[in-house]
Amino acid sequence: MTQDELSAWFVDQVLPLEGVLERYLRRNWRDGDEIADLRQEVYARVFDGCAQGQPDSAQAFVLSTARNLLIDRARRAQIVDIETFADMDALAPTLDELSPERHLAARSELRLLQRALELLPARCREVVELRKVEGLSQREVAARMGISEDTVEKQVSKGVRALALALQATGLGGAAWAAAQALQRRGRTTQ
Amino acid sequence: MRSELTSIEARAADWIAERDRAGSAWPAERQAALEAWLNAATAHRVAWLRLDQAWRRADRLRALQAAPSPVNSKPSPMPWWKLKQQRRAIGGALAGLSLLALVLAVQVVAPLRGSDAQSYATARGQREAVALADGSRLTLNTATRLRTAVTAKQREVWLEQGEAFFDIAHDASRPFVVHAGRQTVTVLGTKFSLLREGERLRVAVLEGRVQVQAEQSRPAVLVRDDTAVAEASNVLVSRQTSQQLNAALSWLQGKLVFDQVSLAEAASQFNRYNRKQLVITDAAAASIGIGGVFDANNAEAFARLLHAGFGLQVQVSEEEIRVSSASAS
Repeated sequence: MTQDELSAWFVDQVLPLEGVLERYLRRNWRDGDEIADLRQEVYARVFDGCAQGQPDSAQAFVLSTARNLLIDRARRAQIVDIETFADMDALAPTLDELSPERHLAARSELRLLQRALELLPARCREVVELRKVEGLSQREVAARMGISEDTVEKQVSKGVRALALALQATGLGGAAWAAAQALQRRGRTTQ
Repeated sequence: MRSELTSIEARAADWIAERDRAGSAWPAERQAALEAWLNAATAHRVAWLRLDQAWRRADRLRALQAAPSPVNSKPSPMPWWKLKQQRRAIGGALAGLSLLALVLAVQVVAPLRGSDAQSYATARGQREAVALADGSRLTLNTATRLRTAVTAKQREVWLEQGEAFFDIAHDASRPFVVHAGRQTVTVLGTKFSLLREGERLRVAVLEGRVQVQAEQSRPAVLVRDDTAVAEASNVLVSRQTSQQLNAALSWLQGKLVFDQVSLAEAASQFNRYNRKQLVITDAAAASIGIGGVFDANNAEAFARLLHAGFGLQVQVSEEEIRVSSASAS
């Protein structure tokens, strides 16, 4: 696989799993501050691990990579937290996490983006709105807002990161909501 | 560890922003530099892929852009994000769609109640400044009629005819609404001008943010230096340079500023201000290009310049000023 093919596969198959991966990491790792680092490390391992060929299931591969990473980290830390790590088997991905993530329909994707946009800081949001909703170039955005192009570029840089973070958060929220719904349904049937 | 990821992400985002700025003019050497950075570590590449993907996904937001709707369709609700902007602008005083509902309701009820309602009018060639109870200042241009109603709850103006400049005092609890025929303009605190030509409304925004709603279209939000022409079924927004905008507002100083308009257009502008009408008698003269700054109330001086500068024939009578090509008369 060429670098470009690998990148394309990564974007198509791995990045959409971010919500699943985050939930898995949060469930199995106590320190929330380290989740972003762990996610990044999983991505890097998945990317390198798939250089020779892509796995049948990206989701299974991502989750097993995450599991191995957590075990590595726990070992390296040398202080194994009994509460979190009483049983390494607990790290096995749940059935829910292993079931294929539904692809977002175009409309819910738009809703997700809208909610993500809402989370951006005001000035940053205005830049992103003008750039992405109105379709203005950075130069036009600068003229429209009466600020310099350098400032717009800085706000875009900020916006790129904030948007990725917001998409992740809103995506997580939506899935968490769906999980809660599923739990409620299960609760009703057992009553 | 965390700070390392943060700095990788910051660098990746900078790359994306830089390329986004360059657009199609992205130079080969910058691309080479980007690829070198990406190849330096898988950590770089995956961070970049993730952020780049988020930025690309945002392209879908384009679907939210307010497009002129078909003439026969019902007025559509504001897209949520404009709504948010508006809500921000009104400081949450009016929630969500109720703003739109209010605007529409007010149009239907067409109130003119109590002693708070005032009418103002200017004669041809006259200009008048009006101070409203809320601290807003209106300047009426030539041949203009409008009514105002400022209450503790709302601020409204009905522009019945002509042109006015609005310098609106900021008041988050009372949006300022201007009705002009089928068009509605909603603001919070801003400077803008409105010119009503029958059912057509021209809007120019000097400061702040203005929402223009034609009866049959989605609302359009205008910001500084935007101008819009609103008609029954659509709102056309375009950007002006500050120079063009100042020219359009030159009437505030009693001036007309022309930048290579036809003599016919210049004459029709003068005729808005003067009882004595400029009449251009032939097509050759009417198509002469005019540029410069003139006193709006002095059409005769303008005609003398036409004679001196272009050799046009000028005949002044009690009722009109006739201008014609030397050869045509």
